Amino acid sequence: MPEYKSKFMRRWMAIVRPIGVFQTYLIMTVVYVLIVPFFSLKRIVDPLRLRLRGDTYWEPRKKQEDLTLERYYKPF
Amino acid sequence: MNILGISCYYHDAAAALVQDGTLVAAAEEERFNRKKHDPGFPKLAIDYCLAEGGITREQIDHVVFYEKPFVKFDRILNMYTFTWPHSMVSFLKAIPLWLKDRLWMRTDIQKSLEMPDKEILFAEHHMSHAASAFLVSPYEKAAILTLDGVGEWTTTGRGYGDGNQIHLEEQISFPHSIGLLYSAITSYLGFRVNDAEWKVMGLAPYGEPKYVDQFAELVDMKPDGSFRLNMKYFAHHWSSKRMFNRRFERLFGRPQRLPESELEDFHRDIAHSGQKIVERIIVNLARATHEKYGLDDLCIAGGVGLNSVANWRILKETPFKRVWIQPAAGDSGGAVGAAFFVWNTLLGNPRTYEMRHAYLGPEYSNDECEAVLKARNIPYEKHDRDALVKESAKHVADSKVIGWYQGRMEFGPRALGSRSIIANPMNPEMKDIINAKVKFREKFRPFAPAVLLERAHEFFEMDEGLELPYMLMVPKVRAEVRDKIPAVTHEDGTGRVQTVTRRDNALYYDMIEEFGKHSGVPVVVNTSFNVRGEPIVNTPENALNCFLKTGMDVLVLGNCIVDKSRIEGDLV
Ligand SMILES: [Fe+2]
Repeated sequence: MPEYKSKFMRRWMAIVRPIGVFQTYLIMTVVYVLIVPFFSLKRIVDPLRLRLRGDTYWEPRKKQEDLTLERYYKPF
Repeated sequence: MNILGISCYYHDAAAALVQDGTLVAAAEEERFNRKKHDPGFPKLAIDYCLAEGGITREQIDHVVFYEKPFVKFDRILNMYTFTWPHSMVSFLKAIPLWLKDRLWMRTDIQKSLEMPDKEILFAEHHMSHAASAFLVSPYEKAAILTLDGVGEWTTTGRGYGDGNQIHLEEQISFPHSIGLLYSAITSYLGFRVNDAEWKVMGLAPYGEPKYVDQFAELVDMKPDGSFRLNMKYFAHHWSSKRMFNRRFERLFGRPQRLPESELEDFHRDIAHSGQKIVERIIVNLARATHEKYGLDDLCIAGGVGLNSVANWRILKETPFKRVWIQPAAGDSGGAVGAAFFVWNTLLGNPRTYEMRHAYLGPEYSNDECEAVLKARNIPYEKHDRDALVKESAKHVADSKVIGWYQGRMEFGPRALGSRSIIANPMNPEMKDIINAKVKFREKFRPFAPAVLLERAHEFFEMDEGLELPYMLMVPKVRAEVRDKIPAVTHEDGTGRVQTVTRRDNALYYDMIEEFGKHSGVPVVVNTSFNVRGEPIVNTPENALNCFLKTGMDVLVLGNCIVDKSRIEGDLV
């Protein structure tokens, strides 16, 4: 990309990149401070197992029936 | 068929190549780019694996990544959401990284591989660990334990393997983790997490079990082997940096030790007590697992599998008759496991490969070794095999510190006689000599013995013929020979043994045997060929540089021997 390497572009990027980084953190901070708490209020569920009780701490794993390549192409 | 396994983006990135069910190459990226524990995409390790397998990128049939990134992201989101507002800093650090890079891992891998259309497979983290232990083990059927820091959500997995199938039936989930508990102890003692866990294990025998009660407060164990951490004391569920909180420090009555500050009895006692608790969890877990499955054999992988003291206790104190542990038990081994998971379990191929050694890395010919010496004008002597063995053994007997560079590089964290520093175990000063000349390690860290398999039981309290090729077990040194091998006898009278066979490493075997012929002790000190803070050497060039930079006396590079005393001063 020759235009990208032009002097003007380089200067322009030097100005806007920090703004971009700043914005990322700004947005993230807003998300964290304002939105995340609403989810965190659902403390009835305990995904972090902070209140584990009972006779065992083992959790059964779901048996993977679908042992195919197609299934494992998924990153989840 | 060619299957490429990849593990990266956490620490110890690695690649492995399985060709028609045989592991032909595996290596950590750090050895190539010389950045210790490098987590980045293992480009150089992949290049090496393909070259070793004699294939091009286009000939790779399947590429498999060792974990499921979306499931991991789910855990990270939950961590930061449910620990609001503690998690703010970690959230701001981690989330942009995930949104920008990690969630696009498929594209990222495709791009890095320069194969934009290649479908990428994703195995689960603990399935990769389980596969790296069971599928390459000698057992047809065996119980499996994965003991780890954390993968996606799982920290500990339990199940069994049968033929080419793995049944991981149960798990313990984040944040309850043996590995993270061990890291908390490591960090509390002022050592670096994910790097210096060895130090805790090395320090432990110097202390007393004074704090086991406090540690018992941190962990709850059940008779069925499961456990839970008391999260009131920990911070790893909301912080990417801190492992424990102030309450943890108050429990033990002292703040975290500053790195490089004086080690006191208190720290030794913490190491001892912490190691004891971790052993207790692991032995309990193994015993319950035997009870559940009633199988004689056990396979282990996951970073905690490198706790050689705990491993030995499993073998000694539980009814398991045999234990096989993946030598690259940490995440680098996940690359191997993921590839075998695809070959055996997904594609249904029978198991035909058994991992009998870890010599899976690059090899350089004698000519290449010699060329490096020539290019740098280093004086050397070239020997035939017999003379090389005799000459090397003689240097060992003379208490020289020897860089031993031969054959294919080891996969996993241990040097096992390919990229090793070897020395005389009978010299009581040897530990200090090696430390002063080369390793500059803390005094409390032990050096390990490499011993001929047939003779191992004469020196260590272990059954005749028991193979311990990976330094993953720590038997006691027999009392009657303890003063014969002081350099490899740890404070508590144990040794982290490597048994050597002619089958797997003939030259190394013959050299140790030759040394034994004259000394009566077929044992050498074996420690990794590197200086503190650097990865183990890979190329002959790396080895020569390390040799010249340190006080090592002799370098055995392929069939050439370099004697430091014959090198002109200004070269060194
Ligand atoms: Fe792991």
